[in-house]
Amino acid sequence: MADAGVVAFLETRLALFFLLQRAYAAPIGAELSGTLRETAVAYGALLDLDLGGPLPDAGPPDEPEFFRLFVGPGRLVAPPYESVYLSPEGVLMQEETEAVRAFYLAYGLEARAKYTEPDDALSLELEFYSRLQKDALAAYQAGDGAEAARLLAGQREFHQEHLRRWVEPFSQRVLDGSANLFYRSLATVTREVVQAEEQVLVSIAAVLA
Amino acid sequence: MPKQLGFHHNMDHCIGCKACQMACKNEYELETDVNWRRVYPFREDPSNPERAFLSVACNHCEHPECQRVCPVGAYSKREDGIVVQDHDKCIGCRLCTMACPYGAARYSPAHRKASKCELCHTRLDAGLQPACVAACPAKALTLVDIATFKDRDAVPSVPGFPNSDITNPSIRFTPPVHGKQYRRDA
Amino acid sequence: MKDLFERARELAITRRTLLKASAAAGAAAALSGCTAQPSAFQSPVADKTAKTFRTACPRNCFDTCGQIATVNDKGYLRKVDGDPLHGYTQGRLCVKGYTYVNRAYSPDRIKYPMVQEPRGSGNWKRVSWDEALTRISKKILDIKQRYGTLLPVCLDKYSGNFGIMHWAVEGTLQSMGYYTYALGTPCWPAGLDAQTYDMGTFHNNDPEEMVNTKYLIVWGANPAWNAVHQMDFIVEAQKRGAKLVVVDPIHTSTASKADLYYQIKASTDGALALGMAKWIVENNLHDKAFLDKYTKGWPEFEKYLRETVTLDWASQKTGIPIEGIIELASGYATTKPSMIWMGYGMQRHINGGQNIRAVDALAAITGQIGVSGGGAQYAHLDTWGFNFHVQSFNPPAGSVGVKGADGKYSNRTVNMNNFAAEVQAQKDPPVKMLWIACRNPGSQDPDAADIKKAFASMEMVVVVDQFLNHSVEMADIVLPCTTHFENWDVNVAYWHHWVSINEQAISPMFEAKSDLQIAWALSKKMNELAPGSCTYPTEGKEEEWAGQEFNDGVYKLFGINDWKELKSKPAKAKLWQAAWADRKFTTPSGKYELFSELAQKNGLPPMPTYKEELKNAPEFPIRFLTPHGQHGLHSQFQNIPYMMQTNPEPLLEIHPKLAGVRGIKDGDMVRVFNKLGEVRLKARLTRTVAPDTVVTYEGWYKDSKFNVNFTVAAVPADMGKVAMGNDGISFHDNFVNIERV
Repeated sequence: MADAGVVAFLETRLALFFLLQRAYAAPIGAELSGTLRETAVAYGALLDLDLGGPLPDAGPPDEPEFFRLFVGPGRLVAPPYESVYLSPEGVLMQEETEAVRAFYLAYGLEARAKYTEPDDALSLELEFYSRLQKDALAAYQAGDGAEAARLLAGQREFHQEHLRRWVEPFSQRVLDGSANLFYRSLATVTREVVQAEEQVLVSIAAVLA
Repeated sequence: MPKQLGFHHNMDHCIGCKACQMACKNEYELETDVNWRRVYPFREDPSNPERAFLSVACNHCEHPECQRVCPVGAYSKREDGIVVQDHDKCIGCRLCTMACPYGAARYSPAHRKASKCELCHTRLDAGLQPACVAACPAKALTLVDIATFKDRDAVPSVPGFPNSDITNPSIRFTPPVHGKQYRRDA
Repeated sequence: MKDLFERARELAITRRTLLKASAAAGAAAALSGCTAQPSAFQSPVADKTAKTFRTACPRNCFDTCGQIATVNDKGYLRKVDGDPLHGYTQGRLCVKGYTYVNRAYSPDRIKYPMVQEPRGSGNWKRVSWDEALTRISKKILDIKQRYGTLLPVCLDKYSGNFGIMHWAVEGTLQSMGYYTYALGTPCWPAGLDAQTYDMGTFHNNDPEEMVNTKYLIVWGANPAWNAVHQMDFIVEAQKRGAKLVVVDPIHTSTASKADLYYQIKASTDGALALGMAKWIVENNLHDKAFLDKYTKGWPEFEKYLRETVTLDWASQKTGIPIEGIIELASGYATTKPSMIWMGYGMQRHINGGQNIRAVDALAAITGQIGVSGGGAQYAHLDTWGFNFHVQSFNPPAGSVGVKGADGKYSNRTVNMNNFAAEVQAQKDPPVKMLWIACRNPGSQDPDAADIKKAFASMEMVVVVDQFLNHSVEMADIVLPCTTHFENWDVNVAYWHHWVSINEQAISPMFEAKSDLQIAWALSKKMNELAPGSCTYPTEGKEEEWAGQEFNDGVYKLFGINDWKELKSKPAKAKLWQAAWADRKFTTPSGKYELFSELAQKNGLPPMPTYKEELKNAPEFPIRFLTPHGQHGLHSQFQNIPYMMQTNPEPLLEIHPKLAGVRGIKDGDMVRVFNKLGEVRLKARLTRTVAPDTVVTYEGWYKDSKFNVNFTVAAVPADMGKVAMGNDGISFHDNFVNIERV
């Protein structure tokens, strides 16, 4: 029998990861940034983290800043690709990218644009991570403990091998290179939330067991 | 003397084009700040200012300092004389980078480990030349067995090359020969 | 910490917020079970198998290397090597070629079509290809409607990619109407015209047969940096006993290999050649039989040499002592075969073409034209006989352009070598839109400040490129283009005689398209908005289009039956070993013309007599040479991380004597300036340059405003019109002053 508190927690966490994914995929509007703030505040309250405070209360994030930071056309302030941070060459499509692709494949997925866009783009990694969360939640609600545990193990591994290793230096580049309040806050939230997963995953595992 | 693979650098033919240095990076996808091979001006030559060059990688010394100082025994010398490093063993203490007179071992702050040229031994095993040698457009860099290498113009060291008494590096140079110059700064 | 889940039970967040979050995040599927939301993921399909592909370096370079691109089973480019079956480049690349993976996978690449509003603000946003092409098409249609012609749209395209398929850029505009384009070539045209006046056109010996020479003068070329594969043939010639001479104002890496080096005063090459010719004739070492039989105008030229030229004069002009001139003249005239290879730098002067003619004349009077191991080598276009099918679509019926005497319409041209001024000067109709591809005038054109003005005066600027360079900075719309690993192409060179097919090795990165794919897509959009407004096909298969570039002439020349054979190895043209071996010159007289009526008709001296070099104004006493560098090709490569590591910043090479007088020390920042503008860079004290000259190498560095062309005026060279439509640029006739900052 699914525990209402567990479900509520997992739903909030999932909602926040989806929103983060969305915020890195393209510039988001005022409404979505408001929702992101509410969700971050709520999730932060659960973890004793101040996540909502720095996110601006009103106004959409600055579009040109999004492109300057993450898209181009010039040198990116914070390239949102794992291999840029972890590979020796610091370029795209490296061993890290291959490892991420292999990870997706192990869960029956592959990126539609796998030959043209790096598999280890932040928005893709966050979408994948959210999907694992979503499926784990569904399994939990359906009473399939084994499946939920398998999907949780996947999250742990993906967090351990990928997100945890590069979201920190990525967020730091945003903080070093942007004066924009929204994106500085987004970087902080992303860093804190990814860092918190270390404990969160342990807590969830305890419940599922 | 047992087999000892090493390099012969014909400075008289070297044009300083850096193809060797970059071919090495291309081959091993090296970190941007790490060069296993480096081409640099041979400044001891006043008549060819800036335009004579040394191309130096690991010299696979007879007595490798890297091997001697490494606290975890990461370095070893193969039968063919190539000095290799067990990268998993490396703890990034940087003793080798400080000890090597030629700057062959390069430290990566990002990965907290040292690495160096291993004379492309996997390419050699496949019957290929080292990447740097294969890339040289002037055929100025060649792979030789120092034990049997004979060239009356070749010397073990040139001015500007670090002192080689301690390690006996497996490299030979052919120094540049100067032509006649009509210059306008007389 | 209080139990997470207890807290969640008391959650402040409402169900409504959660639903809003998931729905707004485009993740409705996550919580509601709805599956309509498109995902970035799909069910897996099989990966590829690891494979190698034949590619070819498409840069503006002598060597046009054959390459092998290694792609792994994930479809990723892993390594780029030289193609061992390419007989000229022989499996080796240069320092630039080995950075290609670093370049293709640079996170700095332009990834998507983007719009900058306002132009130059740095405020970019990503748009879809559809939106970008709609904006462009609407502007083109609007201009056409307002002016009744496409002439206000101006194309500036040149050498950023010399692959044949890139003539699709010209095809793009030509298929929409009569347009304006930048005509000319900045690089080499004065020399091409010089050889055209002398011999009828420009051919070269097979450069691989340079090993046969016994005396080689590399005159103003620096293959050690800019044609590294030629060094192998030069070293081989030396091993076989040849003497190598280098004539260059800069003591280059090539010069350091020479048996004899001459540090000539820039722009006085003609004086050296004429001095040598004078000595050769006076010492009766000229080839009278050759001169009688195969040349026109020898008596007149001999008279000029005997009566006007003196060694004293030549020595004063060139800065080379008389005994040096004699040593060179005697070596050249008495050692056979003797070859001269002229670089392109020496003709970037107001007397550059005339100087090339004087050097050519040395080969003629010694009978060395048409000789294996001899000749006056410069360039060729003998392997370029492709169909240029990518460019072969005509303007739509009823298009209006420049009306000719015969009543027919044609395109309008502006001088590529005076681009900024001419674009702004166009009236009736003015130029309103620029399309820039395979070109970066923002950093490579003379008078960079005026280029900025020209861009600013446009209604729309579209740039197709891979990186945000100085031209892209001034664009409204940038379209991302592929690297040569991401498209098909056909590649030949203007130096060696080989042809390569360039196979597509990897998928285009992000949303990059090749110039050909852009042509298709733009045509589709134009026809959607205004049916019949563009005759270019709207789709195709690149590989098939590559095949359509071949014809029987090309097959015969390269000795192949099918272009697909090139997938297994590059092919070499069945041209001559020595150009002009039959001495059948294609001049009006059929002879080597020491006296050219055509030159005379074009307002030039009929003979290779000396044309005075440009004199500096007293307040700008120092010549500023800005030749090609080692680490880049014009504005390409230097921005790549590997290259920035190797060569992090531009340096000003300055002689210690000059530096001493100006109180400049090694590493000081120096301001180099003239009336036009300035450039600031760090001093490097070196004896590679003469005390009256400073040198830096043109290019575009990452995150840098450095641009030598702020000081370079668009002064034309003396020749270039006949072969390339416009005269060249006197890039090296640039005088400045310097001061420590």
